[in-house]
Amino acid sequence: MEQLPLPTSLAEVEELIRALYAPNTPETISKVQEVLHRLQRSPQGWQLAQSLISNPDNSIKFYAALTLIVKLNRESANLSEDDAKELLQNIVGWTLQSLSDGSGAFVTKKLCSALVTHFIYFSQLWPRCLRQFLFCLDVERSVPIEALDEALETNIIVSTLSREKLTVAIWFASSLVEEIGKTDMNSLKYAQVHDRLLRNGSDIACLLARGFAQSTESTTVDVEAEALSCFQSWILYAQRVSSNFDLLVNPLRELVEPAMRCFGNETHFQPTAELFSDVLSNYSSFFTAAHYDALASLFDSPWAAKHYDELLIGDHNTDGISFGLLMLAYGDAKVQDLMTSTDARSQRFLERLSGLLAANGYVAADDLVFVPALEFWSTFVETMIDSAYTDEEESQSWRPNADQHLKTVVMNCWRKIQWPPVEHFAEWDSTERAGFSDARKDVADMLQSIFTLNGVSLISFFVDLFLQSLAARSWAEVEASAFCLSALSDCTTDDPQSDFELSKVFSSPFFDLLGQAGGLIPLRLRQTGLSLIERYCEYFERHAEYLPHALNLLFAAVGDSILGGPSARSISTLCSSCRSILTGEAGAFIRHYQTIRSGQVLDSIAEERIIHAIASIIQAIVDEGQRLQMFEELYAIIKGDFERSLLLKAQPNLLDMSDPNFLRGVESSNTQGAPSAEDISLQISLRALRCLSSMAKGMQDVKDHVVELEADPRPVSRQGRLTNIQSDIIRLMVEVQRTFNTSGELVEIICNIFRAGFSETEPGPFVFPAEVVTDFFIQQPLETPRSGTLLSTACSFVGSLYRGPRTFVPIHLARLLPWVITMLQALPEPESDTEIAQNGISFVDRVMSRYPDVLFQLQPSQLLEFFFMFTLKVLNGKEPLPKSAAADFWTGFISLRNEDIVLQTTIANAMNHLGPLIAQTLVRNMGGNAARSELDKLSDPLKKLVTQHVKAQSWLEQALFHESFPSTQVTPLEKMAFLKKVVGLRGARQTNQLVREFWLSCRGSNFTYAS
Amino acid sequence: MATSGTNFYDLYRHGSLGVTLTDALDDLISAERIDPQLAIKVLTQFDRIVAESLQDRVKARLTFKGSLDTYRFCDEVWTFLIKNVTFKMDNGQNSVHADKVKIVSCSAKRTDEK
Repeated sequence: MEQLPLPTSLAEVEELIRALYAPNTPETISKVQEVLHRLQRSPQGWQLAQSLISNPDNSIKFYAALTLIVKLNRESANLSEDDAKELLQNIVGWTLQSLSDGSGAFVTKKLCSALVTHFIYFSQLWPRCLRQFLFCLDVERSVPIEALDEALETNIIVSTLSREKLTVAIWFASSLVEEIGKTDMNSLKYAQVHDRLLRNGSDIACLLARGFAQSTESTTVDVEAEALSCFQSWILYAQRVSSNFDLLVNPLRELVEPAMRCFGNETHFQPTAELFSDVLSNYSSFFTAAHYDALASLFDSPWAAKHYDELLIGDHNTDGISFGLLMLAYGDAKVQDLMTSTDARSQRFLERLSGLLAANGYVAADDLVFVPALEFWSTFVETMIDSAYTDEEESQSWRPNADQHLKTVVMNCWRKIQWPPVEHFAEWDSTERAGFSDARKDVADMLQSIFTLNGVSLISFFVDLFLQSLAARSWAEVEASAFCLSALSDCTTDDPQSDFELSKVFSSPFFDLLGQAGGLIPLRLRQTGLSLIERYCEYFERHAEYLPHALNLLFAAVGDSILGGPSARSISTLCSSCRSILTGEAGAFIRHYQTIRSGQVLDSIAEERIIHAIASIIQAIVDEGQRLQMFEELYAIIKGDFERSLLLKAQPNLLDMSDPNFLRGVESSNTQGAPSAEDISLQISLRALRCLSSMAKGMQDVKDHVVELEADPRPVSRQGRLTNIQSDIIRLMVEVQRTFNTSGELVEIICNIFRAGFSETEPGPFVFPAEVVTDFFIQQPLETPRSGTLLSTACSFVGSLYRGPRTFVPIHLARLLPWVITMLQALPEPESDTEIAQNGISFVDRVMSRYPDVLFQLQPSQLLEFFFMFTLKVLNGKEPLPKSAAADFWTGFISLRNEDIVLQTTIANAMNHLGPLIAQTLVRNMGGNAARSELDKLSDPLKKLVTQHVKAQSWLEQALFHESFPSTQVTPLEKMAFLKKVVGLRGARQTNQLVREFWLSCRGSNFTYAS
Repeated sequence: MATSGTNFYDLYRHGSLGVTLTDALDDLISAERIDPQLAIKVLTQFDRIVAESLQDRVKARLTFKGSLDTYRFCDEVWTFLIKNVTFKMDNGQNSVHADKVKIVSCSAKRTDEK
């Protein structure tokens, strides 16, 4: 950017300042700013400020004051004590001048800031800065610092100041505390400044007391408002003070009563309420017992009653909720006392606080005080719970009163969470809708806490409300009751009393009404009703008599566009939980599913959940023959989809868009015209695979079985029904993958199907024999999409092999290992596919940890050599995930020991060859190449190296002095000291800290900003 | 009350977001794109924003059940070790199981603010 020349006259400077504050292009403003900055920084800057300050133009005066601040910040060290005194007198003089010559308020405020900046650098010259300034204001001239001794008492000085002078003094006091508050209290540089500021405590008290005592005469200057704001700044500062606390806090406490009187002035009510709310919320210990008593009396006054009534019936969006927040802040600060008090005043106050939950209007949209009030009552309940468990029962005489308040709270909340009429709700914006839903969740949270105190009686309370509202057909009330009961589902156990209460709900006519298509029940209530069934699935396990009816209801809603998703989820939860009760219904459910899907195209996720539900029932069938028969029935439906998809792919002309079986392949989100037959065939296959994956998850056993590690594997029958099913599933998956060989999503779903079987210990349709799984993996070509996922599934497979019998495990590992390493070899660069690199290294690590013989006997041996070099390259690289896997691998490798002498010799030879390279790689990382977050991980192999290998020290030394060491910031002596300490620590945990410090030394001081 | 001048815990710097942010700042300092003072400011801002966002903006909830194995309260820090924990998300997804969970909780208001 081309620079402007420096101005040659004052007039030019003034012109530039005017240009700076006038509307101009950003480029012009930048240029002007740059030249003015140069002027400010020049030695003539002081003189410039002095010349500009007398200009009648406000913006020029403002710039002069700004220049003073800049100069003080940059060059205060160059000023002698006399210069500083003279400067102070000048700035005070200019400030007084600005008060009398009609300068804008922003000019006077900026000059006050300049005075504060002066105090920050020269506080020793005028430690009682506030008194000094007040004295000057009083005598209307800038007096020398020494003259302050002759001044009258501060309270006398402030008593004679005009409103205008008072206002300026308060501006200065506010700026003083805010600016100094920004500096570090613990830094030696500013400690004295803070200490001297505290000594102004009595002066600020005199000033603000006068400020609060101003009459409300009509004037342009609102002294009280300024005083309130200033008071708040000083309290905030006092909160952070740790030494000489009383010097400031005691005088400030004297101001509480005068400030409280500002409540009486309607204009100042809002800022006063905010001030008190803030202090009560954040610094409640500031107030003394007398202050709290005064506030309690205030809340009990007719004035408070008026504000309270206005809050309950008023418009919160327009009038605000300051009074409500003030009450709540007081309640929060005194919650323990209020809870345990039984006096009438406290009870009246608590009654009002519970009443805040019953203000007019809907939560979030109209009623803004509900959520903060709910937060208070949640705190109240938590405090009650604490006392219930810590206090003696005899000392809880307050409990009946508190319980009574809680009843009102629960009732008010129940009313408030009722949904508005649909047409009303439709008018709300998204924030209001979300706010309403969040408030309902907050109520649910609080009810769970109240349950801890009230137990089953809370369930009974909502059951009664549910039944009463149902009798009155008051749907919003029924919905709120059902919602509250849902919220308590996690609290209930198998207590017969709560089951008794819940049975009243589940045997009520409500569920008959719910099942009537197009019936009376509004949509929102239907949703809550279905969710209620899901939430109490454990209840249905104990009361199977209600289960069929509940499931019928849920199945009936599956086809509904809105209720379908939640219904399917409830079906899945219920069937999974109650699987052993429902085994006799498996056939009926399959037929039901068939009927539903023949009539319409179900939502894909809903369908997967239904499949999961049915499969979990099939899994619980004890008789194997019957179980497999049911499985085949369900599987046949999915298999039909696969076959249809493959046929369509082969013969696209078969596509018939009126056939619902083909419509399953059209995504509902697809808006870009008609999809091709190929797309549809792929989508049908993907959908069928997802169903198969749900089936596999449903077939997972929920019981734990004993695993005999030393046992031989179960004999695998090559015939038999289960084997045929497994072969068929594998055949289908291979066929589908071959047909749609570019689909990565398909590979991921197949991997999920395999994974579902890996965690099983008992035979099942998805618990494929190990050789089948191994065959599947090693037949995967290198170009298979999502190969990283395949490798991560192979890692899970190895984990599952390790959990089972040990025989034959090495055979499978020996077949898989070359496939994995070949996959790594195919990468153009180690970091070109991080998922493959990470999972490939993890796979080899898993093999090495349990079967090192398999790894070291790998043929051809070049594969192993390649892998070692590959892993070292990754450890030298930048990709965090593969690097972490590589660090794990080398940690395991370094500490590898084996009882077999031949194998141990091979390992030792490998280590002798690789040791220097490992040391070099680690040292390069610790010398600054690694990212900070990798250091702990990289410390692991280092710790192993120094404890396991005698040559470690020499390897590390060579590495530290190798030309590839990345840093020039550490001396040879420091390197040697690091090495000595690392070796001395013998792999102890402190090595991590040592590595971190060395890394920081190598990187330089720029990196010490984060610990 | 205005929060200027109040401090925030730096414990979220040790979470994955904080660690990644610090790595990114290190990279920027290495490339001489920023100076360490700015990095400090960014981290301080991060402390504040994480604390405020967790308090004000996170609406997702979960409930969990488990057996409380150990608990302690030391230097204003609660620690709970819970075994056999099942988490339930409020969006109705499948529940998540963990053998062991450690919960470390600090007061939202630091001792110097009380």
